[in-house]
Amino acid sequence: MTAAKLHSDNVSISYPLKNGEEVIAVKDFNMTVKEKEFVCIVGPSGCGKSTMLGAVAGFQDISGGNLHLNGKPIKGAGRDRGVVFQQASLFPWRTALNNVIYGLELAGFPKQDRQSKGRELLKLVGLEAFENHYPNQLSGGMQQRVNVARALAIEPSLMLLDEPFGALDAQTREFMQLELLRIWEETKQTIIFVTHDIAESVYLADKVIVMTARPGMICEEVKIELPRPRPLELKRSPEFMEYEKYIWGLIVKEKEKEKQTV
Amino acid sequence: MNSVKVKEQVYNPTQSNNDQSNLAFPRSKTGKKKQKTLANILINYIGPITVILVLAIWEALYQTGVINPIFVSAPSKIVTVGYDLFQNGLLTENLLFTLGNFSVGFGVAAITGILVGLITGWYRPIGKAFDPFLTAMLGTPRIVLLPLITLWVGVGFSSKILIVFLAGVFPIILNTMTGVRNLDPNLTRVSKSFGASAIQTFITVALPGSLPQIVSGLRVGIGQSLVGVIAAEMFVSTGGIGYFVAQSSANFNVDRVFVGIIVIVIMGILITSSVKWIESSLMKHRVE
Repeated sequence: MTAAKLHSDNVSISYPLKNGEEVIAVKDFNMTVKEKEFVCIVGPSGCGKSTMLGAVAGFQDISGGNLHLNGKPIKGAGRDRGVVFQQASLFPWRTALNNVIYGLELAGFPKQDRQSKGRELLKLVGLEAFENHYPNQLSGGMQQRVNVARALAIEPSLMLLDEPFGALDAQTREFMQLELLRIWEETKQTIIFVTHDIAESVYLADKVIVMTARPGMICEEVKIELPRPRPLELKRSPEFMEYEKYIWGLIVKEKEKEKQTV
Repeated sequence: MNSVKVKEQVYNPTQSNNDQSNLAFPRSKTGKKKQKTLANILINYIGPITVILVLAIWEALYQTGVINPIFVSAPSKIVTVGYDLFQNGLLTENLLFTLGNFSVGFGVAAITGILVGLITGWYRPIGKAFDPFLTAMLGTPRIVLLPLITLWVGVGFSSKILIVFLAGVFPIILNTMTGVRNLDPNLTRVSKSFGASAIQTFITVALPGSLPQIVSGLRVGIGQSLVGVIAAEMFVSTGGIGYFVAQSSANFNVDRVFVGIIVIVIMGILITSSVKWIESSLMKHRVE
């Protein structure tokens, strides 16, 4: 058995409001991510899934519990985690290649090394012909490929993706999911992927963590035992739809409970 | 905003002649060729045509004696008088004097303005402390400080440089500061996520991210510095184009006044377009 890479033990996150009250965004979050595992966190908007990812990335302080990466508590952001952000977050003044090597530049790698590494990664995400293009010359899908390559460049121990395909059209999104699985298999990365798209989470993950809102809690952890590699046709298979329906049911049930309490 | 030249530069990347590149360049270059009718030529060159027309009417009015040569010069007079003044070196001498004052003053203003703007934008409390002074100074024509400056440093070289500096520095500070304050917080977060130190974030995000505003600050600053240098020369100087214009006017030499004004106009156009050129070469990624 591989050892736990990320360990979240009763993590809670709360914000102080201006009037002195506290808002609990995440409560009692328990999760274990193993080496090379693909974990999706799915839930309705406002359930605290992005906040939780922010805590793993180190942008967000936790207010209770323990959060360990490779046995060490997470304190602040660091190069051991590669983050792929939600919106367009490429530097508009840098070319695709220079965006990819940004992290290597900060880490002080020699120019030759980082350029060859950057080209290698652009090739991995299928954009080797676009290294001199600026982000606004690339389509949304291409931009997110560069974004993924940029996070991979620093060879992080954990990849964090925060609804990376949320802004893409449906066809591009499906294609990007397929691509991400290919990249994941090639690079043998460990991934935590946040999304509100149930089908996306089932298609990608080894394990889907379903969250509910107010306060953001885990409602269930669903193991996805679909064979890999997963072609896009898998999404039309009855087993896939069964998982999708099940997770959808969990979220709806929680929504209904919420209605009754309000 | 950008010139056609820039677009071409970016739209013809050397390696993108394959099919895929069409995805990134959805606009086709093969538009219908415009027919070269007379009307089209007129519309294309309406600017220069108007200028020539105005000059011709002006000259005609002068030649027919409709306008008084004591008060208004004529294009032909401006050219001949201007040529003579260049020949005897008087114009060049004054022009160099003005350009000297301007470039020293504006150079210092640009460096100071950008540095102060970056710092006040990055560190909010310092920026807040600066705000009242900035607001006061931006709303005031800085030329009003001229008597005070003359009192302090006299009428020499330094008084003009100081005025040029004061005229240009505030818009540069304000624009740079605004640029840094309005940085996309997402990009700052990206740099943080890659383990950037504060200084690294400053250099790799704040500086390039606020470049458009820095450049527009420089553009406003240049205009105001030009006003500053000419005005200062008119009031407290024994040299420079501003002085030349004021002096010629005092001597009722209206042709020389017009020559001086035209020189200032050309100088302004050249300096402003040089900023545009710098702007487009610095910001290749900004394709409309």
